[in-house]
Parts: sequence; structure tokens; C-alpha cells
Amino acid sequence: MNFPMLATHLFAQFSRWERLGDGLHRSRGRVELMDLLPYLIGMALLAAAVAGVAAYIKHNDLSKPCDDPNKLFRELSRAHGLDRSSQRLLWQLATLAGLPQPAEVFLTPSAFEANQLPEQLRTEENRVRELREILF
Amino acid sequence: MQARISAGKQAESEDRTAGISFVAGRSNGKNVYTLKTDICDIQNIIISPKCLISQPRLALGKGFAAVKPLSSMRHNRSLRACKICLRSPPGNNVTSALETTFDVLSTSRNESAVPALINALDCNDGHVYEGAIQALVARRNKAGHLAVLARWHILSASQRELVLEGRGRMSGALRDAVLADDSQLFENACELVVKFTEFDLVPTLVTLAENKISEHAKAATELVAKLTSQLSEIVYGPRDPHDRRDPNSIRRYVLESLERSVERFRCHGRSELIEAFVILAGPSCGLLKKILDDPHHPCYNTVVGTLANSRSAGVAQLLMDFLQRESTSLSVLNLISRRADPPFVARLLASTDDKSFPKVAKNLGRIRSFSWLQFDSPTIDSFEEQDQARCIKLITASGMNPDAILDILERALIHGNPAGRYAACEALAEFPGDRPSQLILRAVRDLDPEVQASATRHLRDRHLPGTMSTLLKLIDSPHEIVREASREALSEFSFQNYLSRFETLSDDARRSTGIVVRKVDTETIPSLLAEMENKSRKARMRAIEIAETMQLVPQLCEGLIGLLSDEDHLVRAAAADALQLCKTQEVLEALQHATTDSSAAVQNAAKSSLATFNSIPNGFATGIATSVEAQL
Repeated sequence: MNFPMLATHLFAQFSRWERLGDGLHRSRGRVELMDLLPYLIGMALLAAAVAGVAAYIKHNDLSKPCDDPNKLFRELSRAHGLDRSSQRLLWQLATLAGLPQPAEVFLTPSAFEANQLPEQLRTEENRVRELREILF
Repeated sequence: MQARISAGKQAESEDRTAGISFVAGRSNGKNVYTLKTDICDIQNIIISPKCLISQPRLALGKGFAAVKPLSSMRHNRSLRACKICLRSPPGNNVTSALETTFDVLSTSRNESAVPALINALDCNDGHVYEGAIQALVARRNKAGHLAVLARWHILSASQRELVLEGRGRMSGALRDAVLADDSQLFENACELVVKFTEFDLVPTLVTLAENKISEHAKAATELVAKLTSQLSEIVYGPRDPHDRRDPNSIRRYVLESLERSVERFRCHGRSELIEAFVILAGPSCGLLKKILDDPHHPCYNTVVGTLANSRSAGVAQLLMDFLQRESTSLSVLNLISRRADPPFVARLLASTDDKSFPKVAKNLGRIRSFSWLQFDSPTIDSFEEQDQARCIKLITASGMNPDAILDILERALIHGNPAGRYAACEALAEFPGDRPSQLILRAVRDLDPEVQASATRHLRDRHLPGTMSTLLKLIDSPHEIVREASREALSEFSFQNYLSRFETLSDDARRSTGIVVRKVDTETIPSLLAEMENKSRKARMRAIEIAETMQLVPQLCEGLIGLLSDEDHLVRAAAADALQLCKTQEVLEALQHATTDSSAAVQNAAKSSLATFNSIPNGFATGIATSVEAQL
């Protein structure tokens, strides 16, 4: 094959041209770890991305059988169309009410009663009332 | 109502008449789905197919307002799965969000829902409590079912209805509950097992019943008895169209465990289990045959006692099946003869209407008595109308003493209803002797025409004095069926017989027999008219003579007028002579015409008849016919 432009370029970088073929010579040493580092980093990033996607899918896939109270809470929240802040508030309410699992807050209207609200949620009384309206 | 959308931008409902349409499209760059319905108050609501699939009640209720913007929905996936069935749209358009919660908890594949629901059973809120019950019953989870079972005794009627919806899903929990030490749980489970007709649990219950140290053994035994009784009703009674289970498969399954229990009878001694076995065993059951053939078998007395006393439909059917078999043992036939309970007797009587009665009759012939016909039992006249007839059919097929049968027949004839009297009368035909004859003579005077007719048919064969006159009187009965029967009884007095023997009879015999024949054989006049057209001159002459002898001239005028044109002058003369007693204008004209006949004999006969005409007053001749009728 004839590539005159490439040949010109190689001649222009004479120092490299001089080392050309060193890797094929018997005297060349073994491959060093540093040579593979970029590849290893790339593969690790790829694996992390795949794991992240898998975890995300698993996190959001409600059709798989499981025994996950947190997931149940998310499933119920999604069914009721609750936004993140509402979910957070509900979670707090469940935790402070001492419910065995957060999803039970959806079945415990008494937890929303104003007079039974924990001290930490007194400031959120109005939002809690709104949530009660939505959930019950 | 069903609405279905296909994968695409446009979709429509299949059933427009139901007033629902579903349209998918895009608006301002967003996917927009619109459900238009005139059933729901909410119209033109924007919903997603996914929401409609996963939360139909939410989608149609006020809770729909809380659904997130459509852009967050994976609409493509939803559209692929968009075979939506909106079954039974809610009567009220407002569904609570709590229902959404329970929808999720009852359908979620997350097992954490079960403890959450179980804990909800401790909630004071009635809606939450009932929703939790419904969701737990809907889920296939034994722990959840057991939690509901444990509360069965404190549930209200409406709450129990919710539990009953779990039929077919709670078998595992019921099995655990009946084996549990908790008496309340066991009691609750027993109640539900009966309500659910959980026949799968019979082997478990049998094992429990055989366990002498279990405190639940007695209750388990009673439960087995109840279940086998229920199963027997299902197998031998009318089927519930909603129950798709095959009763015979269940019977085989249950019977297998009961057979093993029968083999262990010496160990457990539970006679109720043997009764349960007998109730479900068919006549071809080898073990049952073995027990019945061996009086020393430990279960023999229990089995015989069950066959003699059990009111179960299964036992009744078993005995009836035994009756249809060829080699039924005498011990079984004795048991049948001893049964006097009305349901069994009704079943026995009903068998007389079956096609298989000839087979039954063979075995009935080996039965000498029926306890339900004894003196201290209700008599035949206490039966319903059709049952009286069936009873008579049954006893006549049996091997009962003829005198005893005659007693019953007599009672039926005197006190029975028309169907019973008729059957008794028919049955009497098979009994020779004076007593049955007297009973038949009595039946001839019965008020019911059918009974009269039956007695009349059998009277002739009895050769009783006065039978002929009775039969002749019955020919004039106002009831056609009786007249028919008497003609049948006097069938030898046919016109053909009379015709063939006419030459051999004396004048008196000809006259008296002729009158009887005329009454008995309704075909006399047509036959005589046919005979007048016979090719044989002798036959035609004889027909004219018979017409005169039987005093049928007025009825045969037309035929006789026809004979005035006969080719044979002797026939014409005889016809002209016979017509003298039939004074009608038509006959008069015919006779006047005959006076111009080529034959002098015919002319003389015609003139003679005309002279006779002139000698009798008008209306006398027609009166003759009337008087003849009166004589007959």
C-alpha cells in the first residue's frame, strides 16, 4: 500500500520512527500494569454504570416478588401520586409514630390526628392534614 | 362493559352503546389520553392507560386528580398493554383513596404487604379493618389467611361475607388451622371448612378423627360426617352450576381416605367414619361388598345400621343402586324392606317410573314385605296422587302375599284418588278369583271414567253373570272412554263376524245379535254400504236383508236407492221392498221411478212399497228410525 502523506508525517516525527517496531523485538519487556490501567478504569466505570442501571431498575420494578417494606412504601406512594416531599413527610410520620414498617402509615388514619402528631411535625400540621385528605 | 384501545395514537371503545370511548393523542407535545363516558359523571378527564390498568377505580374516581403529569408515564409500554377491561364500573363515581391503598396491598407482589395488613386488623377504623380483611383474603398468603381465620368468630355478618369470597384460596390456612392446638382457631376453621365445602381436607380430618389423644378428634369426626353428607348431596343431588368441581373425582378422593379408615376401624372405633364411608361408597365398592358378605367383619353392624337408618341421600342412592343390580344379597333387600322413612319411600316409588324398573322389579320380587305398608304405618291413601299409582306398581312387582296385595288394592279402590284407583283396577287384572272380580265389578261403577273404562276392559275376561248386560249398558255411557272400553270388551260382536255367521243364525238370533253388533261396531253402516256395492249378487242381497234385520233401513236409504239401479232385477226388487219403511221424498221419487222398471217384480215391489207409504201417516216412517234408536 502506498500512503505518501502518512510517510511524510512519520518522517517528520523522526524520534518515534526510530522506536517503531520496538514492541515486536525480542528485547521488549513484558506488558506493564500501567499499560492496562486505562482499560481497567474503563471497564470499572462500565460495570458501575450497569450496576447502577440494574439497581435503578430493581428499585423501581414493582412487578418482581420481594419482601421489601421500603419498596412497598414507594409503591403505595406512587399509587397515590405523592411527590418526594410528601413521601418524606409520610416516612417521618411513620417513623415517629413507631409503626413497624413505613407502609402502615397508609393504613393508620390515627397517625394523622393533629393531637397525636409528634413534636417534630407540629410545624407540618397543615401538610399532614392535606395528606390525610388525600390518603383517606 | 369493555373498552379496549390498540397500540397507536387513536383508539376507540368497542362498545359505543355502553357510552364509553377512549382516545389517545398528543396535545402540546404531551401524550394525552381521554376517557369519555356517560356512565361516570367525570367526562373528558385526562388519564393514562397505565393508570387505568393499574388503578381503574382511581382513574374513574375523584382520586384521579392526584395522578402525576402524563409526561412521567411510560406510555409506550402502557399502550402495548392497553387491553383494558373496565368491568363493572362503580355505581358511585367517588371511590376512596383508601380503596386504592387496599388495591395495591392486595395485588402487590411485595410480601411486606401481609404484615402491614395483619397489623391493620388491630385498627379501630371500620373501613381499614374491613379493607384489610378483604385484601388479606385476596392475597395467597397463609399467614394472612390464618390471621383472618383467627378473627372469624368476632366478625360481623358483612365481614364474614368478605371472608367467604376467599373460597378456594384458603385451603392451606384451613389445613394448618384444623391441625392447630388453638381451640378457637380450630373451631373457626371447622365452620369455614363446612361453608367452603373443603373436601380436600377430609383426609387430614380423618387422620385427626382417628387420633384418640387429640382433643379435637370428636369435632373432626363430626366435620367429616358433615362434609361427606354435603358431598353426597352434591354427587346425588342437583348440581350447582357455579361449582366447577367434578363431584365424582372428589368422591373418589374422599372415599380413598375413608376406605383406609375402615381398615383401621379396630384401632379407632369411630363408627361415624364408617357411616361416612357407606354414604359415599357405591354398589360396586369392593370393600363394602366384602363387609356385607361377612357378618363377622368388625364394621358389619355399623354398615348395616347405616344402611337401615341413615337419611343421607347417598345411602338412599346406594340402596337404589343395589336394587338395580342382579346379584343383590338378601341382607340388602331386607334392609330395603325395613326402610320406612318418607324420603326413601318416595325414592323407591319414583323408581317405578324409571326405565330401569324391570331390573328393579326382579329384586322387588324377592322382597316379601315393606315396613312402610304395615298396619301402624300410613296407608296407601295417604300418598300423593301419582305415588298411589307408583305404590301399586311397586307392590304388584314385589313378592308380597297376594292377599296382602289385594287388601291394598281394595283399599286403593275404595279410598284412593283417581290415579290410585285406576292403577289398582289395572293391577287387579293380574289376579284371578272371585274377590278381584267383585272389586272390578265395583270399579265399573266408579265415578271416574278412566277407572270405569279400565274395569270395563277387564270385565269381559272374568265371565261373570250379568257381564253382557252391564257391558251393553256401558256402551251408552256418557263418557267416550267408557264406550270405547265396552266396545273393546265386546270386540267379538264385530260386523265382520256377524256377516260371516249370518247365514247360520236363526231369525231371532240374527235380530238380537244384529242390534248388539250395531251398537258395538261403529263401522257397521259403512261396512253395510260397502257390502251393497259388492260384486257378488248374493252379497248385495244379504246386505239388504241385514239392513232390514238390524233395522238400519232409514240410515241406509241412499245405498238402497242406489240398488234400485242394480243390474240384477232381484236385487232391485229387494231394495224396492226394503225401502217401504223409509218414507222420505227422495225415496218416494225413487220408488215412483222404479214402477217403470223393466222387471215386473221390481215394479210390483215398488208399487207395494208405495202402497205401504200411503197407508202410514206422514212422519211415521221417520218415527220408526227414532223408535229403533230408542230400542238400542
